[in-house]
Amino acid sequence: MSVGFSKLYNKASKAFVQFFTGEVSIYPLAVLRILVCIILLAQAFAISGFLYEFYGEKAIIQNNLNEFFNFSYPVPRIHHLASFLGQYGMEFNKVVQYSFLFYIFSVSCLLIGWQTRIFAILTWLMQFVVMNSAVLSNYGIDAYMHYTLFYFSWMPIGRALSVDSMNTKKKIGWTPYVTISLRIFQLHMCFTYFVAGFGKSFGYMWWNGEAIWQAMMLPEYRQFDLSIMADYPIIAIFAAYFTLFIETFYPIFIWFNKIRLWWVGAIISLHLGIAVFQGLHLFGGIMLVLTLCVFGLDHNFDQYQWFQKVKKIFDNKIEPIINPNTSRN
Amino acid sequence: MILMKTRYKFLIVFGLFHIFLSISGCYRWNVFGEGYLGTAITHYQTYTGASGNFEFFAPNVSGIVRTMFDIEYEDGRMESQTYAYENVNSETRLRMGNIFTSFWDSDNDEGVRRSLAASWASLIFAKNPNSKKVTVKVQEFDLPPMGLYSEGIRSKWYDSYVATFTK
Repeated sequence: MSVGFSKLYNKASKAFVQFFTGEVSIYPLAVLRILVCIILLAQAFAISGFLYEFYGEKAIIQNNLNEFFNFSYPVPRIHHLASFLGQYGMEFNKVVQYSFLFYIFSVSCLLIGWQTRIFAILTWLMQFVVMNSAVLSNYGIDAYMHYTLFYFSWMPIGRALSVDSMNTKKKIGWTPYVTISLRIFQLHMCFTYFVAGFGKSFGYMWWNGEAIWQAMMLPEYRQFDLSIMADYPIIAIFAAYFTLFIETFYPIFIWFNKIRLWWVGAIISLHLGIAVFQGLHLFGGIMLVLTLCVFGLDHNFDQYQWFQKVKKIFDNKIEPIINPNTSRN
Repeated sequence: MILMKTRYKFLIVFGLFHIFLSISGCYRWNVFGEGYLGTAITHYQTYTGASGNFEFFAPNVSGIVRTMFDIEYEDGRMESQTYAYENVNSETRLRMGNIFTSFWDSDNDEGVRRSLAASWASLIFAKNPNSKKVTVKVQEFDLPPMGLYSEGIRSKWYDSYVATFTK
């Protein structure tokens, strides 16, 4: 019996080590970095015209009330910096403006992968400060960005598609550090989707389709007149069940090699639907990007015949154009 | 197979512990108590996003509110307006809408609601210098279920809170 247990333990240990240290591509994290930064910049651009309504001295929620809705212990906010610099004559709204510009600068440097580690840490901290400075305006995207940027602060996101990787003389590529980082991110994604789906399963609205009806028809989200669902409730019921299934079983089926791309496709369609039909463009975008990069790009595409054909076309037709000195003999 | 270096073991343990903290933060499990360790962990969770809740639209989809302002001017004119966030991009509209929805998050504390309403009224006074009275109306949206909608019953806004402020 102990021999059997010992064999099982050895097998499990090997699988565990392989899972966390087997070679993976360095590109998923790099592409994720770029796409997340693009979304952060789009978000910053979107609210830039109303900066002072959210963060200024005469914001929609004034600072003393902001404190009430904030955490029970101090967290850094732009207001603190503005109060400190106000002693030296700097205007409150000017501090807001310069803080925001610095945040955009930080995100831009992270996007191009210049001094990646430093700007990853700065972007994470700045996003935290910006989030806390108008806490009532936050929604789902802020929670996802927050933990993603924390991961960026210590994960090897600059090993490819970055200024740093082009400038360095050192040979950088895959190490187990990359795999461990990707796996931790993947496990975190599994947990967030399971929580989302499992939490919804306790709501009666998700079992009779009313959740989809409300989500599509409330004025805050409504983009199109989908009142036809009232006459054909099966549409809403199907969409609700699809959402529950895709989210709740994400942590299981995303790991099956043969099913992964289908699951990634289903998640992409779910979030495209959110972006198009609810107007949550940035939220739908970030959710789509996270799964696409973290799971979609971490996949063995060589198993597919269509990928082999594309590779052959690339090698035969495009490669000679890119590398004309390549010998074909 | 690569032999596991110590620093990789540390990374794996740290990463898995962080995920555990994310799960406990999401479900508000008080695993480490209220002492120094518990406080430190809570701060860590806050700074790293391990306290985030991902139960969006769960268990059900909440209704929405909007805030209308009835303005009475010194010359006797009356006007109704929102906070003018209808001609903005969707991201800004969503975030401003979240701020006004915070009214519901104040857990029926009349003092906080009054303070919020007063804060918004002061913004309206600042935007409209000739105004003398502002009535803040927080309205909830009543969307009938699909069955009733198909029978002809339609949505409407109704006042759930009204407060008047004068200069």
